[in-house]
Amino acid sequence: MREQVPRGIIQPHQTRGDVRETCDVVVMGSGAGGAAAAATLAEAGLDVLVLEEGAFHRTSEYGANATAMFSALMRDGGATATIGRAPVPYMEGRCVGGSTVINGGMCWRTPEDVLDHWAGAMGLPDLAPAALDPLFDEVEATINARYQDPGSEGGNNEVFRRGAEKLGWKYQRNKRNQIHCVGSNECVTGCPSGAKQSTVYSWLPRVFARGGRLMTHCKVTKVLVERGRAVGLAGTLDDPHRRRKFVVRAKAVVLAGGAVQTPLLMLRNKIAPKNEHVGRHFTIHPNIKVAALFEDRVESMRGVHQAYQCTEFKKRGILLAPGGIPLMFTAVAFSDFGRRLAERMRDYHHIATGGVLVDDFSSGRIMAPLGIPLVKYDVTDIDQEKFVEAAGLLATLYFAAGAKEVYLPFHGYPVLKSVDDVKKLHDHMPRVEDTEYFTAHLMGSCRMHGDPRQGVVGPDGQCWDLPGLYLADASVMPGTIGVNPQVTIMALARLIALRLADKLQRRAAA
Amino acid sequence: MGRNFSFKGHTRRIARALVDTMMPRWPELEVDLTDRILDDVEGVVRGFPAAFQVGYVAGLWALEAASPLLGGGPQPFTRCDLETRERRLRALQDSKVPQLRQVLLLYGVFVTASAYAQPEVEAFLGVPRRAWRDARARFRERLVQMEASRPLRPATPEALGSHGVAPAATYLDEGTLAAEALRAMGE
Repeated sequence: MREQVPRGIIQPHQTRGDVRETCDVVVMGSGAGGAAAAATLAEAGLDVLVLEEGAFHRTSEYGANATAMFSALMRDGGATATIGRAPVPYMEGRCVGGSTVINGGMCWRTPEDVLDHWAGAMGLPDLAPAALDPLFDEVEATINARYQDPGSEGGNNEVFRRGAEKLGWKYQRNKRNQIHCVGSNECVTGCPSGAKQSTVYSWLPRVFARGGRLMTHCKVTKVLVERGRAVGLAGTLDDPHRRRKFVVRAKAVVLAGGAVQTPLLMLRNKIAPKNEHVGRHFTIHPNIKVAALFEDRVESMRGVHQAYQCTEFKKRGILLAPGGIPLMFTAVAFSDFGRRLAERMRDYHHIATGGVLVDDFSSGRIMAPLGIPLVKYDVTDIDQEKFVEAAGLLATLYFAAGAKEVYLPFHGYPVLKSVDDVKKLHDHMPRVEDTEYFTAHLMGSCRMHGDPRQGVVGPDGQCWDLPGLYLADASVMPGTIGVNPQVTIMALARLIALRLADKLQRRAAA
Repeated sequence: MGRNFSFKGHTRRIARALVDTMMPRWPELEVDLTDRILDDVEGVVRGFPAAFQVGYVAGLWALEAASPLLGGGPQPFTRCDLETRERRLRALQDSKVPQLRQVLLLYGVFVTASAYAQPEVEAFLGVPRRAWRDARARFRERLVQMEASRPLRPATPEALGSHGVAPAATYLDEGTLAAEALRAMGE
């Protein structure tokens, strides 16, 4: 039976001409932050309208053609990268559900030491572990953050677990937002079985159940400001037939476009022009990929994307994880082409893939010179040392699991044939410029801080410099967290939305 | 440019030569996928911002005009045979200038991603991805049906499991399991 478009979603063909709307709260973005905030506000009895730049896609429309799905689900067809010493490709979801549609679905609470730091040094006592725990509980229940069905892990995760166990390294089972993830292993191009509980299946139905609405194809270009207060959003409606505009007026405005789009909108609109923190303190948890060749078949296609994480080196800011990916992404991981790559890919069934993630010391900046988006980020030499160490650790793990060869993403480095080769890595440290990174974790470009001189938003998520403007996405994260961020984003968005709902209700009562 | 972007005229010939060089080849696989991959790459570039599209096309022309500097004679890229084209791209790949390598990597990503997602390539490498996706989706339907009749769902973060449908040992076994699931669904 064909999946229905949820009631509450308004697509361009359902409206005519320019669109004018009013509501209590208008929310830009339907990803982890926007959807969680919208559901919280709608359930508080407020009239909520969500504006999403991308389209709505049914699960049946998540097709097998990966390049077509890149174009359908991601900003700029997935061809987005930071600029700096080495480009770091990143992906931003641009569809109903945002990046929760294209992420791997890992669910980790913010580590307690991170929350303690935020609560203490950054003047945010409401982010202390005890205060956020109930929110984490709610988030995890909403998105079904569960361990995998036993047996669904697959060979790619199995070799990782085996290596960690042989070395006696601590590893943990991942919670993922899924209901019966059956190991299709195509998370990045939209879960084809509907198992992943993106916001389309978790938060947004709660918005619609309480009468909230979501308009697709709405590119927000302007924050409406009157008498020093944010009063709405305006922009263009991406109608293929003709150029249309929309204007939404509201009592409060919530930006949840993510750690790149939210500061970009603020910079282009010259919001808080004297606040030097807008667009700064941007962190990305850079990743690198490692592949390993085994004698036995690994069958990376079968099984969940990531069932475990090795946390043995977490205190050193290093996280190791398997990362099962479909054939085409495994081929891409080798950064080769043509006949040589073709010969290597004959071994596909025997190849395992994983990655390392480091807590980044460096921070980047989002800029909009002449309105042009620029995302600047430089991996520092300190972080690079951690990457090289981490790559060596993951190679060691794979050799312990029985790998014959390990491939590292450092230009010009030979294939590692044994654990002894790992030591040679440190003899000649690969440069940042010779390393291939990627990331999916963009955070902290409009950070929350208890001191107005040190951040963009206060503890309630309201912009210090513009009343009525709230931020509820990864941009408000006060710093890097060292784990996959969607649960943190949702918890912060819910906290901000609860405060906002309370404020609007009290204002209405008065 | 913009959402109507397409490779035209000689730009198309350069893009096609690039795809032809970067796509996988195996002696045993005779099907020519060049145009299909080129269409895919064109579709991806269509989704880029206009400035990026201009840069992408400029890069193609730079390859056409400047690649003789990489060896193999004075011919532009499109006039070279496969070996020469590959040798030139390998020279770029091995360049000491990281930016050149990074640009080549970008061009290669879309060719490789498209090529290895082609059904013929998947079949050749023994990766029945499309069938796997379908079988998994149907299997999940069965698990969800089972979920509906379960009195209490385990609280998060516990796994839901697949009791009564598939033991852990055969959870990822699409052959017997998919058939069993389909039978159970009356198909």
